[in-house]
Amino acid sequence: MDLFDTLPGLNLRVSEISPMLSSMWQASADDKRDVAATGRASQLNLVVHFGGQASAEEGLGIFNTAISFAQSYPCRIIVLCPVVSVKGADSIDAKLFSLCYVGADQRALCACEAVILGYLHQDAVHLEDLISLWLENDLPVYHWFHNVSAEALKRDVLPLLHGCRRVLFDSAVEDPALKTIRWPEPQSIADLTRSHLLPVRQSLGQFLAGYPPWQLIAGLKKVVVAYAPGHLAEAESLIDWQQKTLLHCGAKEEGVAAVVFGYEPLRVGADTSIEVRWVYADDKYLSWSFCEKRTSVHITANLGTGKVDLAQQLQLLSPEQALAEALFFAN
Amino acid sequence: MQSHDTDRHPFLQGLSRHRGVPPTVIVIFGASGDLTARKLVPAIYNLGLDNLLPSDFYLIGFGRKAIQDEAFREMTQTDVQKYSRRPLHPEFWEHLSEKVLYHTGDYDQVEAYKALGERIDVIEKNLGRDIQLLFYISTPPTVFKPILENLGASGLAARHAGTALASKIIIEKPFGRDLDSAKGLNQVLRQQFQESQVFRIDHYLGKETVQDLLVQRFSNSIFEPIWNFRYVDCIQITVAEELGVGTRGGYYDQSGALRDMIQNHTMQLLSLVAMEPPVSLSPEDIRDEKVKLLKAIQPVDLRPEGGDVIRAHYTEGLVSGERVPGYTQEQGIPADSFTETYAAIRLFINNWRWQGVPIYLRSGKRMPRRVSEIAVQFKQPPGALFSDTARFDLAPNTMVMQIQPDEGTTLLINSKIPGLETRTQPVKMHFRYSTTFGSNTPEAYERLILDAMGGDGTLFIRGDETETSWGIFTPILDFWQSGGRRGLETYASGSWGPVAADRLLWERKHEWRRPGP
Repeated sequence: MDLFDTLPGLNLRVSEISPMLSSMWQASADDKRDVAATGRASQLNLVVHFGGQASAEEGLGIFNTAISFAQSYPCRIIVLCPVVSVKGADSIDAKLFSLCYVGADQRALCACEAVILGYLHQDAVHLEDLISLWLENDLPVYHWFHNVSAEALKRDVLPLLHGCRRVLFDSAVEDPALKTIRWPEPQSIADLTRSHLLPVRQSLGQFLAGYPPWQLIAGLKKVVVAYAPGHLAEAESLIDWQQKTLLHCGAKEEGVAAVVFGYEPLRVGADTSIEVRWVYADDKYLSWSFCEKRTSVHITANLGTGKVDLAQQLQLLSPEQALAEALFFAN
Repeated sequence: MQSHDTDRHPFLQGLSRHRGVPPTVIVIFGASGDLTARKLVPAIYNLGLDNLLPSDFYLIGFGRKAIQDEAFREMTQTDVQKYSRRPLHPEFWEHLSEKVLYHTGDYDQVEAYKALGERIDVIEKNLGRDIQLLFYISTPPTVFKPILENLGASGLAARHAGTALASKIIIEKPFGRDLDSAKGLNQVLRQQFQESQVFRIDHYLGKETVQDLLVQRFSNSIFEPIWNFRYVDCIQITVAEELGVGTRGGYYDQSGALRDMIQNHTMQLLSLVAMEPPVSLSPEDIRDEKVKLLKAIQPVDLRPEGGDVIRAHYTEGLVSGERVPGYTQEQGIPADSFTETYAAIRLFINNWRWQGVPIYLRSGKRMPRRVSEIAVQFKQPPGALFSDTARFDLAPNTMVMQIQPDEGTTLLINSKIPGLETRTQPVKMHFRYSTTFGSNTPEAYERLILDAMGGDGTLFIRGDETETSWGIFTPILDFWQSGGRRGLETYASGSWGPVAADRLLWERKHEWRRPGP
């Protein structure tokens, strides 16, 4: 069973999607009230692109994240799944998913809809025109890739990105070659891993901001991020952030350009997920470690004003929070 | 990429300002009060849940009642359970409540403040770093002065002065009860704090729609060209409450609608809706424009006949189908009280933009429903094309910004009714935060407390704003005080106010709106 089959929704012909979208929230066929207007107020479009390598399990996880996101930020979701063969009468298979979400109060009441398309590789060229039928016009369009190869992206998807507000991918799962792509609008690219790590940057940032920049870089020799299995992308993102930030601390002038930045796997048996260690030429040091299971951070440091030993609570952003962060707030 | 913000520490770059607030101890004076329970503690809890509190954060309740730390933690836990917009998360609460403390002391005893300072010294020593103090004065105004003076005398007000960790103070309304007392309060505040350390809170400014006012006005090119006397017929601002005075009778009878609502909430709304574009979004530039607007308001005509002011109090009536007593039958209200529970005022702004446009403000208790809104009503289009009123039911275009209960904006436009014959009908274009952004909107107090911790005064009221506003209303209060019951109207509970208030609008062929859902 391929990904398209795994995703929930009612199988339809492509031509049935538009009429169904306009009538699906009516209580009955004779009901002419605009029922949808009270519960549905899409103000953005989210197009999810799956690659041929995306597993059914991954795909379902991404789909559920998009639906959870839509419960807070009502949006029109369009999901594009490459398939090996189509099963319906059309050249493209289609499904429509709808969910009436009722939260604790009226503020959390909304309708979520997703149009899901299964398309053959050779029909990718038609996608731009096809999805324009269902995108809410005049409203921002966001694209989210999952497990799309750089080759397929260049070939099939880049033409769809013109004028979109933001393009998302997750460096933890994507083809590293994605980083070498010449994006039409590079400023619109956002990495979900970076967004996911916002609380980590906040914790480290708030702590380090208690020290003057010059004090942080004086004598700094090495910055290491140690990561648990499966957290390499997080480690890369954190190293990249520290490297850039330390440059703003006056790194070049202080000779910190010579600081060694690196990452390494955590020692076997460690119960932490990520550790950040700063090594200095003198007796200064920083050790920041995060245990995802216990949602706790432990900081021990001496950055020139005495020893500090702190425990903090820290929870990484949920997938839908990370999605919102990446779409609206990340820079 | 975001430009490099040179004012901030490099390790806070790229984080929103709200995620980079410094280590903070919030000290709440009036810790066992209603506001603390209903708003402040839940707001702090929700900030923490959103990971927006600084990692080194403490909450200290300060009050006269002798309460142990553990008992205060239990009280605050109950507050969260009862009043938070999100349920209590036991694990998170366990972590946060470790940093919740209580300090017993008399407001007028400097020793209590010195002892508080010693507790804070211990916190700083344990943390190995300095920490900012944010004092939240949530007490009756009678004790503002001793609290402020003792914060100064104990050295707490001056702690870390001149640095980003300088002490800050949030003060709840009322900021005085007339111009003289407002000046007096500001004087006491300024003796202990710089203006940049003072955050006078009006929770209306923390509401999304109120913040959205500036965005809607100045980020859309279609509104600003028509936002003036050429196109706007009038502006109506309504702050209506369904409730009566309840158990607050004693306090309310000393205050009244003008002091309690009009002088602060409605004037803040008016400032934002009518001010000129600020030079930048910096707090001072925005507040400068608000003050300029207030200074341009013409003195109010106080004549009993044909003047600009109406006052009234409610009589017995029906609210939501239930019979309710009149104001003077309420607990704690003297039978001969002449305190107004309703006030309506017509103002004119003497500047280029608003010359001749009447601004109608009203606020009252025991009105049909709780609603706060700003309605900008535009002039009828010129020409005779649709002037046949029998055929064309044209309504004035109106832009309504609803502040509460259901935040959003509505634009009323005229449209053709489907059919062969041309007939028109007004229709509404709605934008509602609840349907567009679901449950993402934080409570006003969350936003405001966070802003104060970060030292951002944009959504707070500056000292000269309070004085300018009181300068407009003090003559009215003096006039009413000298007149006793003379000119005091009545209105039935559950109505939209006294008939006399309609006169303010009839004179210019306007009518009060009946704010609906």
